[in-house]
Amino acid sequence: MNTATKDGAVLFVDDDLNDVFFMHLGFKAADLPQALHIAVDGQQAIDYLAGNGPFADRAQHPLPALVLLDLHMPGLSGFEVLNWLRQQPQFQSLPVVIFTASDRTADQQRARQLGANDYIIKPINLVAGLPELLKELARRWLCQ
Amino acid sequence: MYFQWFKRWPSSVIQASSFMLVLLVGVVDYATGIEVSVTLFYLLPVTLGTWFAGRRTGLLLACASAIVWLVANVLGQATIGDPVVSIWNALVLGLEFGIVVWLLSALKDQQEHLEQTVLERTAQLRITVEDLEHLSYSIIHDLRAPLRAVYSFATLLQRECGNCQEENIRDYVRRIGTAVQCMDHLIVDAFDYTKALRAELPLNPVDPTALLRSLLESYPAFQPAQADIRIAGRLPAVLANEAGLMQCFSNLLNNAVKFVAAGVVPQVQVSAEVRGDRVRLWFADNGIGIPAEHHERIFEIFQRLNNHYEGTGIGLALVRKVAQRLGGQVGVESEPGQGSRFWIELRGAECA
Repeated sequence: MNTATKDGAVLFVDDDLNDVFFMHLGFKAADLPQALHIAVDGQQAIDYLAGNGPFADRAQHPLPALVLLDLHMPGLSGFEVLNWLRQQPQFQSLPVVIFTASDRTADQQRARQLGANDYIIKPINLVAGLPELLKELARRWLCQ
Repeated sequence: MYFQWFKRWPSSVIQASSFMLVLLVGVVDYATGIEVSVTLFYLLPVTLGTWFAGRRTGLLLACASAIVWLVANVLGQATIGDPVVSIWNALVLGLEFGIVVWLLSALKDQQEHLEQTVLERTAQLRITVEDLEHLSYSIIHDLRAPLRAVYSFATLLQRECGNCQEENIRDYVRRIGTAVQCMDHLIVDAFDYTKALRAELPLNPVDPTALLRSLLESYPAFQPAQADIRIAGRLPAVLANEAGLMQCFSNLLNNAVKFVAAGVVPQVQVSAEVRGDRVRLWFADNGIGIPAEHHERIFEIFQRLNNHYEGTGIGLALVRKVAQRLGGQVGVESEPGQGSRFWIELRGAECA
């Protein structure tokens, strides 16, 4: 449908800039062919996906083939982003993997109910384990 | 018990049956003649009506009782003279009933007020507990985020320093990693402990053997390469909560394999002892043992006996708290150098 999704860009939504830093690092270490794009809060994630403002340029900001979504963020939470996303016809089958520090069962249930495809608890060490984790996620959700 | 039964009656039924009772007592009063006093029995409908249908009904019943009494007496006594005396007696009787009604309804008001207060306070408490729960989750989340950054950056530094000549710098970085891990364990354990304090633990029959087997399979530290853990014979089912008991077992086994002298392969034997309607599960290890004076202390939170072993001082406190909440007990028999025999005792789930 959209040529930009062919390589399967990944959109990482997280307000913690350290986590963003380590995600870039992990992506490089995992040597994935996909490009990593960042949204630093819920509103930006929605703007990115909807193509609002600067995100209208799909050459710069391609539609992702996978969304990695943090839950607890200031402003719009991951739940609200997920809820919005599943209401858009074009994103109904877009894989969304929750990537959060929260191991609350209530959060997991709510994320599943809202249509998350997977739920991953952030490891305490983002350098040691992240590349393997990302490879596994790419195998599962980005296979052509 | 009967109170509950009356409570379910609609107030109109209570009112009707109370007035009927007054009439009935009146008939008996008339039939038995003036020598036999039945005035006390008017109190039955009066109290019934007051308690379950309110003060107004009670006062009406008091008046009705006095009138019925008067009628029964006037009809019953042709002989004794002055009707003014009978009217006076009826008035006194009505007043007595009125006082009873007034006292009873005051009591009832008080009780309803108390019940209302308890309901309100409980609702407030529930909100407070929910707030606290939310707060503790937020604290965990917010505490762990910087910790994750510190740990990850330390690992990064360690990697980049891999070739650097400064041995002490590598050592510092390694220590940062250890300290961070320790703090993370502390946060997680403290949180588990607070969860154990308030989590709902519904009791069901649990098969300890199945629970232990799944634990032994899922943790590398419990597998044959690392430790020799045996389950002796058949362990009878206990009345417990699976998640809670799992927490207890994993903590007890963790301790058993952790606190061994250097170079010793941990050996743990789990066995059961039936004590009346209770089952005591024993976890016997070949560890370093615990001096008798510390047998109580080790079950208290943040109490650690030994600095040579990693730990947060929460594990056994958690075991005891969960066991208590399951209606059970924990304890230990041990001597230094002789291993330890920890036990957890719960209600048995099998009929004798």
